[in-house]
Amino acid sequence: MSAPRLRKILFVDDEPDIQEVVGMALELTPGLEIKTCGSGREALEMAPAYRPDLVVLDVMMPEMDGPATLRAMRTLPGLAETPVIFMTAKAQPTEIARFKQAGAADVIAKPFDPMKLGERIAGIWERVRGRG
Amino acid sequence: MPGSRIPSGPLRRVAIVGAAALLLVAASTGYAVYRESRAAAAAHIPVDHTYEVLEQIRLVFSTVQEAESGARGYYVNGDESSLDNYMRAAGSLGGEIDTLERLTADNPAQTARIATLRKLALVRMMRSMAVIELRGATPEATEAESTNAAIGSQAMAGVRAVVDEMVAEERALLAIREAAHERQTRINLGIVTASLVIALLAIAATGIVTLGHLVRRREAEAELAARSARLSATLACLTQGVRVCDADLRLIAWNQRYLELAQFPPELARPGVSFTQILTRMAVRGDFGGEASAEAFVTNRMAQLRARQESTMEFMRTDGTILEVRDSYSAEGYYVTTLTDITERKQVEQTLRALTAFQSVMFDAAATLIIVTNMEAVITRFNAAAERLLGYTASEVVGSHTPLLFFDRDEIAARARELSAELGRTVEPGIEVFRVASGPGRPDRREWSMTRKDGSGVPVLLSVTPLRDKNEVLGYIGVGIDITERKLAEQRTREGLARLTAIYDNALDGLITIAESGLIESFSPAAERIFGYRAEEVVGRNVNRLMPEPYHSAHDGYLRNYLAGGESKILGTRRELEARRKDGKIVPIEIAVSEMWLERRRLFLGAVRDISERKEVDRLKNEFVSIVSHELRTPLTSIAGALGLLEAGAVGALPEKAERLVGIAHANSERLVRLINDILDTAKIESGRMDFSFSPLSIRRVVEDSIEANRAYAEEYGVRLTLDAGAADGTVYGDPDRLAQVFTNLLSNAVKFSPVGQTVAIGIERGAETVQVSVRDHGPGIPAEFHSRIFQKFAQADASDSRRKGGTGLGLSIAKSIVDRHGGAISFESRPGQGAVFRVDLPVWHEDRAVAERRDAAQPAREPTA
Repeated sequence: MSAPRLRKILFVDDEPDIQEVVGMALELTPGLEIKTCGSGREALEMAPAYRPDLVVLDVMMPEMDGPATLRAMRTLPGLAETPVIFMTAKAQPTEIARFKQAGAADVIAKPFDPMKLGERIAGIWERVRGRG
Repeated sequence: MPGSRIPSGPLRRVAIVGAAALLLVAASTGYAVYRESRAAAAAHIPVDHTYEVLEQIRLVFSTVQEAESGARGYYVNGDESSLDNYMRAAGSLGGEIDTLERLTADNPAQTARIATLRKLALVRMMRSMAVIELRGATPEATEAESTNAAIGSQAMAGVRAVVDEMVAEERALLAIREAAHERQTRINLGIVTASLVIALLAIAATGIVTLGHLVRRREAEAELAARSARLSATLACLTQGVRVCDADLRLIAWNQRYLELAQFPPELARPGVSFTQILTRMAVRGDFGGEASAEAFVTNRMAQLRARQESTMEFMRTDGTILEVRDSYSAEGYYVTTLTDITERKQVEQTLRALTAFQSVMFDAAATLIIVTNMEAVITRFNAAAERLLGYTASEVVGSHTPLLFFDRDEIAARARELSAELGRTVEPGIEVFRVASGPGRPDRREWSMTRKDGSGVPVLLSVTPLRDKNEVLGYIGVGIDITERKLAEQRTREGLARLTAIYDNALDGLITIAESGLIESFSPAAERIFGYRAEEVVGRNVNRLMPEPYHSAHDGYLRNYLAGGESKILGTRRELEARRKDGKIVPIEIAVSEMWLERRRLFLGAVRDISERKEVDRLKNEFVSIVSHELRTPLTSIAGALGLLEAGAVGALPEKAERLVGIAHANSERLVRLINDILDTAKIESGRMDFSFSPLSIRRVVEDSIEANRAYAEEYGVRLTLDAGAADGTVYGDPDRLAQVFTNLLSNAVKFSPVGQTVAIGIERGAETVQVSVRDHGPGIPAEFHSRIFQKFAQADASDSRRKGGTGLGLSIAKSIVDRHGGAISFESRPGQGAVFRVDLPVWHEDRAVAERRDAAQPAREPTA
């Protein structure tokens, strides 16, 4: 029984430009469906209905940052075990460790290479799924 | 004894006449007696002779009789002793007759009789012999002998007859001779008697005449003797030696002391010895030095004496004793010399001279001013130091001024008022202030401003003492030193202290001193501000009240440990710690502690700086950096992402020129990202906030990952990355991402500077304690002038390089910092044109050692904080 393929991604970032670039980048990978939103709150509203296979959370966001959004999301039905990747412009080793401890599947540093982003995320997803 | 005198005058004439008469009488009487005595003696000799002859005749006859009776005794009794008697008598008879013959040789009649006697005695002896032989003989023989006996008897009768004749003859002679002797004796007696009478008469006459004189003379002699005894006793008592010579320089009197002092030759100590002889003897003995000098001495000495002038000289004996020799001369012509032992006096004099000289030298050599006055306060002495200090010469002031000359009138007046108040009586402003203030053993010691001759003042510490001899005050002595220097030093000290106090009071750093006990001794105003305590609240209390836990509890232990010889990690360094303020607030401080000794007390000085503000600034700066990094990266993420998509043709193919421009924009956006990353890393390194996540790891794995990560980049440059075939491995304790950052930096540099088609070789070598990673390229090498600053920030060999090669100029600086944090070292080797090799040495991790280190780290900190 092979693992189900990564299909739906929820991307959360307060920066619309980044939302757009990430959206375009991930569209390059065939079979990926992506929804983007600009805050943790939006993500929490959207996620239960959308039921993403994987969530990418920007860490530094106004009102509700990445870790807070993650904690809240885990309480939502169907999202308790959904893999979450943090994306951050402050990728210090200690912070990476802290994020992983908070439940992140991995951390992707900004800026990133858009042409490799889909591949990278798919890799992480497969690693997490394979394990779980 | 010297001094007896020959009588003179009339007594002398009488004595002479008397003596002459006596001599005459005595001579004539003597002669008469002599003459008559000779005659008497001559007359007496024949008388004696006659008695002698008579005695000898009797002896001869007796001997004949003994022989006869011996022989007969033997014949009758056979008695052997009788025979012995006969034999002895017969033996001696011849000799006795010979003696008689000699005695009578002057008388022919007696000589003839002796011849007859000898014959008859012979007959008689032969007869006796015959009797002896008859003893034990035949009767016939005895018969024959009887005839013989008659003959013997006849002979014996003859002998007796001759002897009688001789005796008669001698007796007649004796009578005549004795008569002659007696007559002569009578004549002698007459002469002697007459002479005696005459002599007695003469003596009597002389005696009568001289008796008076003799009595007087006896008296004079007694007086002389008494005077002489007195003189002797006096001389004997003198401690001086005295010698008297007569006018001819002959010794006539001396005392025992003289003999001792002069070491007088004892055999010459008798009257009449010439002084020349004495001197000569002494010279020979060596008293006056060598031969030449002794001769000169004797000559001079004699000349000196003969000059008869009172003189005194000193003479040193060979044993060092010094004598004073004083010559004087009496009117009578005597030479009187006295010797005095002045050795001791000389020594005292010499000592005294030395002392005086010493005192004088000291007086003038002294660096202290010395002024001596008499009772009237007039200066009597003024030493060289006083001259120098006050500008007056001794001759200007001695005998003419009082010391008031050197004092300020007002100062003296002030002192007088002070003393008046002290003593409750008026003390006149003048020399009185010194008299009153000083006493025996109580010098008046105080500072004065003395006035120089030129009017200038000089501060002097002056000590005035009365000069006393027993209880009498002879004057005053003032001893002073110039305290200008001291005053200046005091002023400087005061000023210095004031300056230091100002610094102490105004320093921004809090200054705290504590004793070995940990108790606070001083607490500066700045410390008050930092800690919120006033000095009086904490001085005398333990410094640990200024510390939060765990230091609060541990500090006494740190201090004890250090005082017991332990090490301190805080002395001589600056450390950031935390302090607890009075209000309980914990504030970050920076502290530098040093050890100092005051006399023999050890203190610790802590300079404390409140770094709350600095910490806040740091925090703000870091926050700023963090925000900036985020705010810069966020737009860059969009830019780089968008450009990346465009360049990759995600939205379709671009016209050729547009594609080129998009490529330029994309490359520079990436460069900007690297630059921001490096700037942030550098900022973190400098603020000590770069995070590391250490763990034991395989260095080879990190190196291989780094090679893989950079392989695509290398290919862009047409450069190959190869790990040496013999590459080793080693475990190091490190942060894999940071180490990868280091190797990535080294590899990308090597690639950038390698010509196309070249290889960058990576090696790993394992040493005993380190593992070394090397990155070798075949580029142009590093210019020598750049070697010294290659690890500095923004250090690039050529400023244009950064643009051409896309570097930031921060990479090697960051790499070095990271390697340093791993306890390793980074180095390089390069020669222009021959490429470069960079080496990173990292300590090999040992499991057991690391465990020990972790255990140590688990212990409470052992560093004193103050």
